[in-house]
Amino acid sequence: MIRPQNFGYFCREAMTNFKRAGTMTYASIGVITVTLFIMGIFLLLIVNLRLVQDTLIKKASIVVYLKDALPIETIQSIQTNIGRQVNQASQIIYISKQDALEGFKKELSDQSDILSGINGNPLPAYFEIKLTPSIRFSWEGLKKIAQAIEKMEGIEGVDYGQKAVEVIATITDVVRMFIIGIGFILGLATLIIISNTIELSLFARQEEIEIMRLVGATPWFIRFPYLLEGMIHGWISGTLSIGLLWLVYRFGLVKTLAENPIFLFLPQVKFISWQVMSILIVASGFLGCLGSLLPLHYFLKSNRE
Amino acid sequence: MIQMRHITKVYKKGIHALEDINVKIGRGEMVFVAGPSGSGKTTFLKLIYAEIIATTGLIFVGGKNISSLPLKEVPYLRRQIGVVYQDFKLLYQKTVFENIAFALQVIGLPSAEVYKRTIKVLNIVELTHKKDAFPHQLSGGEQQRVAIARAIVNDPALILADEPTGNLDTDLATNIMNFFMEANRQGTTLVVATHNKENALKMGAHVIHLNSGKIVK
Repeated sequence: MIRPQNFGYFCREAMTNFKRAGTMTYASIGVITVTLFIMGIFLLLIVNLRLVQDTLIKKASIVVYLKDALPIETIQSIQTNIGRQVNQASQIIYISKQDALEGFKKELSDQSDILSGINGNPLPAYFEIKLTPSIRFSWEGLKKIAQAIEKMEGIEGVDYGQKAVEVIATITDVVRMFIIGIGFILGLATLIIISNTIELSLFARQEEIEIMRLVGATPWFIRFPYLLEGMIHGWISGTLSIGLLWLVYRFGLVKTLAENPIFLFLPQVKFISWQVMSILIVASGFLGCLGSLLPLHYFLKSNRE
Repeated sequence: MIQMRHITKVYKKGIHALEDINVKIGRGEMVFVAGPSGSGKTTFLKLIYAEIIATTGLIFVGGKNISSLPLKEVPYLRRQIGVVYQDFKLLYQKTVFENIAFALQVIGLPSAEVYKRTIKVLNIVELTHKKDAFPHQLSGGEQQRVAIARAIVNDPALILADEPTGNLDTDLATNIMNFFMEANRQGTTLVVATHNKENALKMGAHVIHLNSGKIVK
């Protein structure tokens, strides 16, 4: 039977095992730390891709191009209908064909020779909808609004920066799939490494375990210190890998991005959240536990004839 | 205390260790199991503390049928039995005190109780002054006394000893046997396996003679 007062004994035993395993312990912690660190790099990537996606969505405006020669009533009714689709606080600005051309000319004032080749006004009139930044539109929400507007009469097309967001969404999806795949492989590797370390620890204490059984220790009583040992393995590795990841983030990533103007358009890079860190540490502790259960299972299997 | 009915033990490799053994050992009795090497003495003891199970037949220990004892109940049976081995089976990286206390810790006793009981048995086996020594710093006789202390610290109703004096010279062997006899006088049932029939007979104890796995009168 396992009683609360035995925890002191379990902890002492786990620590003794831990120290006794020596080099093997350090080697296994090192390898697991690197494994978890690789995993962390991908998590960091996903967090920041999401951030870019969010920024794009927050900044997103919808541009509604109108067909040529629409009567003023139709344009007004389109405006009213758009107003119903989006939030009241959003700004809806009408730019006529003429205004569009003026704007275009202004933008290209340096290269007036391009403009000289233009006959008439090829630009459509359009509505620019500036969505309120106070409301966080999800990508799906934005898409829904755009699709609803596109169905209205007299609309040539709707542009809401879908290309950029879609590309990032695809990358995020791929990275996420990759994380699941690589997470599985790295998790398995961690499990095997911890299993091996604990197995060595068990071999070294074969005699002790035999005597424990002979004097009437229950299998769970024998197992417990090893489970703790595996868990400590996992925790230490998990914590170290997060530390390593932070160093790379702080002195690698942030610095590189700040020093290179090409990345200026990117939002400030973020570190993985506390929640993700906790999950990472808890999960590595769990892996450690599982890793020690496997060799224990074979070791404590009765050879009773 | 112990009853065996038509016990036969055949090991996996086809070795017949015991054949049709019928034995009754009463509570508080002292019994020697005598016979040459390979006669089945160790198998006899192992069956009692459920290290192995009989191929056929029934065994009762303390009135409980242990012939097909589920694995999870084995630890609880062993807490009622103290076992002493010829090779002592001590932990060499633990002190004398720790070796004895170990048997109490692993069954989950609180540390104050562990300390009290360990000191008490150290006194019985006259090793209090060596409590902080490591087994390799002790003589063979002293090591066996540590093993005995570990076996009796839990106040078992039954002590099994497998050639407990096999590695010791005659004087030490007598000394060790005295500890066993003292425990027996306190009411503990004692089963000792030995290849030395004469010694057993000299002590006037009940002797079970084994030869090639059978009881010979």
